[in-house]
Amino acid sequence: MKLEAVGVEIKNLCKIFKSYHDKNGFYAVDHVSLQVEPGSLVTILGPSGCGKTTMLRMVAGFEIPSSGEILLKGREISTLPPNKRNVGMMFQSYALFPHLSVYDNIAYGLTLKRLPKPVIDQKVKDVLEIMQISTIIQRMPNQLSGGQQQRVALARAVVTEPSVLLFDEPLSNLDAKLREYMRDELRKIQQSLGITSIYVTHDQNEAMAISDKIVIMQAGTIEQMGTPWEIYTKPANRFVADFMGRANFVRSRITRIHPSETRVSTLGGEFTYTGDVSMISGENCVCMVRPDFFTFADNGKIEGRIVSRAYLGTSVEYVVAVGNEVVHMVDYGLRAHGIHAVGSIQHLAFDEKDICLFPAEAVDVEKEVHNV
Amino acid sequence: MLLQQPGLLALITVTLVLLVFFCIYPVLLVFIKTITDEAGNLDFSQAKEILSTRSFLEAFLNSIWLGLVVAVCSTIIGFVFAYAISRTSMRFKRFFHMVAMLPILSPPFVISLSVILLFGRSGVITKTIFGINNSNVYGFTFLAIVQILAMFPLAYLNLRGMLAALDSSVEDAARSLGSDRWQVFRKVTLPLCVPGILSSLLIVFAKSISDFGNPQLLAGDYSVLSVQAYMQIVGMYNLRGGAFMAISILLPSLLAFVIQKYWVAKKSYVTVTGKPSGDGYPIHEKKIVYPLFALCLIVTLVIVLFYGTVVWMSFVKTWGIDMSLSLKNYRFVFSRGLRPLMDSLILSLIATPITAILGMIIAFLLVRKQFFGKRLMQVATMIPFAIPGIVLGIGYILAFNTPPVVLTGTATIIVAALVFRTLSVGIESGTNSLMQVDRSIEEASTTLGANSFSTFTRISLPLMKEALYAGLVNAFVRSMTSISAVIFLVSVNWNLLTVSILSEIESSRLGAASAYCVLLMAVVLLAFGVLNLLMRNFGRRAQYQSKEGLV
Repeated sequence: MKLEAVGVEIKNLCKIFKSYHDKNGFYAVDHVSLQVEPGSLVTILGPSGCGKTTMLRMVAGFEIPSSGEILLKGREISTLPPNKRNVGMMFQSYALFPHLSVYDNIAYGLTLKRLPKPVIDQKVKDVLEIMQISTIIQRMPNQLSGGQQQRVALARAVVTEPSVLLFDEPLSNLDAKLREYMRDELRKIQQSLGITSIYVTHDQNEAMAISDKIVIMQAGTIEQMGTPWEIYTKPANRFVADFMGRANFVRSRITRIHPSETRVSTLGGEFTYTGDVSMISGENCVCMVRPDFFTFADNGKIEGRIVSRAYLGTSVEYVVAVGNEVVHMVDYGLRAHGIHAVGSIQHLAFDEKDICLFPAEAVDVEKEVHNV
Repeated sequence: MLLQQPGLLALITVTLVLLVFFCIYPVLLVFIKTITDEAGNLDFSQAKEILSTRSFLEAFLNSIWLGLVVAVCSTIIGFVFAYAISRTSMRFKRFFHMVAMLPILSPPFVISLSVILLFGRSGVITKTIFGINNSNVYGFTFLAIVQILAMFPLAYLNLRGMLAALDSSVEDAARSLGSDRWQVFRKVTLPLCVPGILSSLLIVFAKSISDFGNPQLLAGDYSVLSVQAYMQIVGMYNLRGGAFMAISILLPSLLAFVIQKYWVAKKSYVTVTGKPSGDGYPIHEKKIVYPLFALCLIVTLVIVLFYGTVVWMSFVKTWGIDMSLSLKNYRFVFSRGLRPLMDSLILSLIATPITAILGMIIAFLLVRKQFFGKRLMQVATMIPFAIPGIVLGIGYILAFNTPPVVLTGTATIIVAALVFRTLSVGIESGTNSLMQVDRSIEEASTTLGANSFSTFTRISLPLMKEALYAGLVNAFVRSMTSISAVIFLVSVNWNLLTVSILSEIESSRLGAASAYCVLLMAVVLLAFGVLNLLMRNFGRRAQYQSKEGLV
């Protein structure tokens, strides 16, 4: 079973809800544009209330956009009712029909198309085989385990061969272990079917693990779009950096700007920054370093005192005081140099290519004034 | 979005038009009629004239007083039943419950008929046993007793639902903190039941003042508004006067309904946590259980006595004189023809599915769809239920006696009255069951390509199955036993059993009336049983299917 891959394009999409506080209304989705390549899986990631579910429901047809366009295979669909869109959807609650057996659940969409019975039988059989659940065909939904329900829901969504598959936090009802397993299963099936997919979640690990591309949303707008690698290592702003994983935000100062490189002073050392900078020389800024970017190095420019540590088996987490700053680091090299004692002075280093600079915010300036 | 679904839009439009036409328009006409003259000019003379008469004021105060007494007594008895059945280890609970259902399943005036048979001029108890020759059952005392017996089941059901929903672990907590049973009852259970008690009082009050069948038979010199309104229309051909009197019942009963629905119901302490709480330990102390048991037993025996009397009467040759058993009454009834019974049955069988399905459709629209006129739909469905039946009946004559739509004398007008009078109960149960169905189940159906119609028939409706059956039963019982709403609507073409029973009693053919009553109750109980059986069978089949899957 291989489906025709179709591209989805969203242009300037807006959804305004009525609001008591604002007579202009509340922008749940605010002029969002994005493109989903045929056959790829794009994850919309963001905190709750960021508009990601509203986006998905507009693609599904449960919400009508206030303005903007949704193009499916180049055709504008934003005002079509949900049942005319040929879009498959996986719901958070699975939404299996409780009064129908597994077979009838999966066959439901096919019977609506009035396909002949043998064809339906064959298609249901095929999809059950892909999902590896052929043995439960006669059961009722309340007799299935969480993972089986998940598979039935997915089978039901793909058996009608939709142009695009939508996932609305489908794994949030599973326990941690099963969640990881099903996550990989979903990705595998999505890739083997080659179906264009949009996946909504608030779990950044999930997003990193399954996506071709991640779209980070906040307050109805897109903060950044990119591959998981880009988003984690080169976050566009402080919100994305913070949302995508643990990060140290260290007060820094731009010391020199050249056309090719920027010098920045931070954590008692001076470093070269190769990215683009919109700031001027002498300006305060914030330098983002992820805990796992630090390494212990005898020739490291950063000198710090270990304040506390936690041994986690594969790694050790340290809290290190560097001058006025306190930074977190994760050390994976413990096999080589063991665990450092609390109170000991150590030298730290990081790869200059890894750091990111963001403009200083009001909070940081205030903090500085306070410290002085 | 609606414009994309012409079927849905048409359905909403048709429903709204029907509701406005059959629920709002007739009632509005009753109001207009009372304040305008024949030419349609504003005219308060009729209102002034009636208000200035002593008899109106008397009837008004009588109705209110009767309502108050009946409400208080019914609520007390209802509470005793509810508490004893849901909180104690009393025996024969099922029996008490079933007997308490009798007045709800039978036409409202059966107990009145029985009172006449037992305590009337040739009553078995008054004349045969005590030898009293001129006993008079007509008046306040017996009317109140009859209404209390007929209406306490409403209070009982309401309070039982409330007690069942109150988490009994609260009472257990009070016990473990050192309260004795009486303190728990006085300080915890009773205060938590206040909303339920208030709403029972209001429901029974509204029901009592709008009751027509019992006062018509038993009120005698104690004049009440519903009977006065009927007399004005039937006796004096004064439709405007009748309409005005009916309106004056409508206001207090509507007020009671609105307070109950929008104020008391919101004060409820009942919380749905979705977490099953155990039944707790039922109260078993003899000093508590025995008095409660005695009270329930007395009330139950009185009801059994009254209903038994009617059954007995139907098999007796001449009541009070020749008490030997015979089938004379049934021969009379059968020879006169079963037209009224058949008419009642046919019209109810038409009205029942319409009511049930329409109720589910409206529940679906109200819970799941957003559309212009939703609020109107909500209010419209409530009106025929909340107002006294007699007002609805008058409204239907006013609305459908003259062009553009002439329906008087047809089956349609009776079916319409039956359908719209019962509709709100079905909507309520449909709404409740639909609220428990995850919305995304229907959305899943839509993304798979189903339109609103397929989603409703293949997903929502099967999930509302139980509410649908409850709606069917309710609609049938209410259709078969209703009287006040239809008494003005029957005709030579279409008569109803309840109306003919009433006229049999009025012309003192009590034997025939009893036989009709027994037939009517038999049909209702039969239908009740059959529907219950069907429902259980369907349930079992679904279960069976699922078990098969496990193998």
